[in-house]
Amino acid sequence: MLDIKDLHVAVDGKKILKGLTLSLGEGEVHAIMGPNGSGKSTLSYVLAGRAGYEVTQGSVTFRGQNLLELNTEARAAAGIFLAMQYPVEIPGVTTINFLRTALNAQLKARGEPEVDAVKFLKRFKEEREKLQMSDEMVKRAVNVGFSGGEKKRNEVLQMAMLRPRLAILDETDSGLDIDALKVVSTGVNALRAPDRSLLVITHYQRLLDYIVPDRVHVLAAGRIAKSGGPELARELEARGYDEIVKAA
Amino acid sequence: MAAVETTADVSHESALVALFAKVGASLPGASWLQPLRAEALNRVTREGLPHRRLEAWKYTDLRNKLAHGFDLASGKDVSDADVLDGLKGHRVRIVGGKVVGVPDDVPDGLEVISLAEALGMPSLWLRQWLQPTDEAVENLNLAFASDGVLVRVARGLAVKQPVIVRSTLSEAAMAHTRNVIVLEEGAELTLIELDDGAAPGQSFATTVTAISLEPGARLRHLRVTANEGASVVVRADTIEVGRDASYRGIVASSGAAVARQQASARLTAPGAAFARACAYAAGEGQHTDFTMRVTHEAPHTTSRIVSKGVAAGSGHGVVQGLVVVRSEAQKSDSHQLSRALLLTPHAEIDQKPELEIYADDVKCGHGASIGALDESQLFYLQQRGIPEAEARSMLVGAFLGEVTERLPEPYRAPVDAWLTARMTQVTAA
Ligand SMILES: Nc1ncnc2c1ncn2[C@@H]1O[C@H](COP(=O)(O)OP(=O)(O)OP(=O)(O)O)[C@@H](O)[C@H]1O
Ligand SMILES: [Mg+2]
Repeated sequence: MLDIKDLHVAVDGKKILKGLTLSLGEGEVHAIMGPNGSGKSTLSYVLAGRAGYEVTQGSVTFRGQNLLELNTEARAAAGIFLAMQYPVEIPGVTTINFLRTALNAQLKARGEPEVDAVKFLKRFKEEREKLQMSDEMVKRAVNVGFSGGEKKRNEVLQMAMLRPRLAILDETDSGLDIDALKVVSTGVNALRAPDRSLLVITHYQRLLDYIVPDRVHVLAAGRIAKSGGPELARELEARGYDEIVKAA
Repeated sequence: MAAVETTADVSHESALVALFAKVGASLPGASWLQPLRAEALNRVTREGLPHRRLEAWKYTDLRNKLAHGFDLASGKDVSDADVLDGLKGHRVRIVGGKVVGVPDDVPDGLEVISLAEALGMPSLWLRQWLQPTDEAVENLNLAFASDGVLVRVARGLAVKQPVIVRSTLSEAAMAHTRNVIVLEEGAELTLIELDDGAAPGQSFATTVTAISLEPGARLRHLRVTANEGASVVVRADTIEVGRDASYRGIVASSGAAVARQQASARLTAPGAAFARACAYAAGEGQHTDFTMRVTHEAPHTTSRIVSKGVAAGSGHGVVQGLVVVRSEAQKSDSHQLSRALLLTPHAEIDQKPELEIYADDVKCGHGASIGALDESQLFYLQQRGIPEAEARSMLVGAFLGEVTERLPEPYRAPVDAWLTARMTQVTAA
């Protein structure tokens, strides 16, 4: 599904990723943990194709394609979804209108017919209710006036509607209370499928109790410093990153 | 006919004098109007057409932008689709400066008539709105005004359907129209204006509108200036708001080579309120100017000015708002906000909010900002699969939507649709 080899990335001339290698198979869930500032969000942005993230070395292959030569929207249409650490407010654009536009744009780019408006609304309502979001909320402008937790739910709602092949969840659990964490995790788990992979960035073991990963990686100093099974997360929770960072 | 004296031998102005000599006598109006027209033209030739050394025209050098040797438009009609086609109302049609259709089914108490027709009558009542002033465009307009619409709403009448005035100029010629809108005590009206047309060469249209709101009257006003191509459009409004009367206007402008909307409002008695919101999109080769002056002449008066606009390519947007609070206008409340987006590096925006306060117990403020599209918003939309161009026009549309969202339906939808279409062109620049 996703093959990252020796990836080097600089932002404003500052080297942030320094030789990151990671491989994610079809249907797999991998977690990425790591200290603040180690480059986790940078990795998510560079995969999504954000301007300003300069790849100086290495390669990224997504479902057999060179991902790095696609622009942002083409990557989205190819199935990459990024639930952002800090979702952006878009005044004047309602969530529902935004999502319909996005979905149709992706379908168009893939050469598929536009979604039927009635079916879209029906599905939208179902997904919204699963995530326990009110109708009033999604009629508001995207993320405007949303609490931190509401914004994260809205990211998962969008993911559920857009049904990506690869979803990168950048600290989707931060800012969620315990009940919300369950709701959101259930929403994410419902999307686990043999043809859908997840890259889950988190600081907390707790999320990984709900969304159980196949692999856990520690990102430190711009590269994968350690990888292991789900038990690695528990170890990190107990011992911290110190040893790994020193070894990196 | 009164003699017209020229002091400046300048091509623009002398062409106007020559034209006046040719057509002046055939312009409508009883004998009292001719000397007023001549005097108005006299002032134009003496002061010249507006140029950038005049403070109010600092960013819009009309004299420089205008070709010369215009003839008056003949009134050729090209009835293409109308941006506001679907709206119901009492419709007035002006083509090339001449009224070609007035509604015949108006309710009792609403008068909607052609100014040319009204001028044929010996009434002196109109005279107060047909005087030379110290403003060049108003004077030029008075000299050559060929027609216009006169709307009068009788005391206490709330007119249900809007009066819709569409004015089209599709010739490379001049058209000057003059409107008078009077709402008597307690009357209510929605006035909608649409300016449109594109000529094969430069066209030049001026419209001067005098609005008089008597005590307690309420006017809701929507204007869409949608002329395209090489059109030069100048709108000059003088608005007088009486005791407890209210003016609420929304003006949207995009498409013309030059579109200038100037307004001068006077709040003459306590409780008078003025609000105008402006939206503009200036694309390649387009210049849009909103120049407003509001004078608080009485205590307890309020004014609000909001403008939101975008410029791209070689587009240029200008917003000047001057609020004057006279010493007797205590407890006045005024606010002005101008926000603009520069979509490309060579576009230009000039915003100049100004306050002149002579009273000591007032609440006045203003704010202005110019920015670029937010990169993180753009990335968010693109990450969800929306192509960059579409994402840009969505964000710009949302930005301008803060003006159009003030419009009630059924008016908002057609204006938004028009703006969206314009935006797609402007953001592509
Ligand atoms: N525009 C920029 N210019 C310079 N440095 C930047 C820029 N953006 C990010 N960085 C730096 O890159 C490093 C990695 O940042 P990143 O956001 O990827 O970290 P992170 O692992 O996601 O951290 P956190 O756990 O706090 O979310 C940090 O040191 C950050 O300060
Ligand atoms: Mg981060």
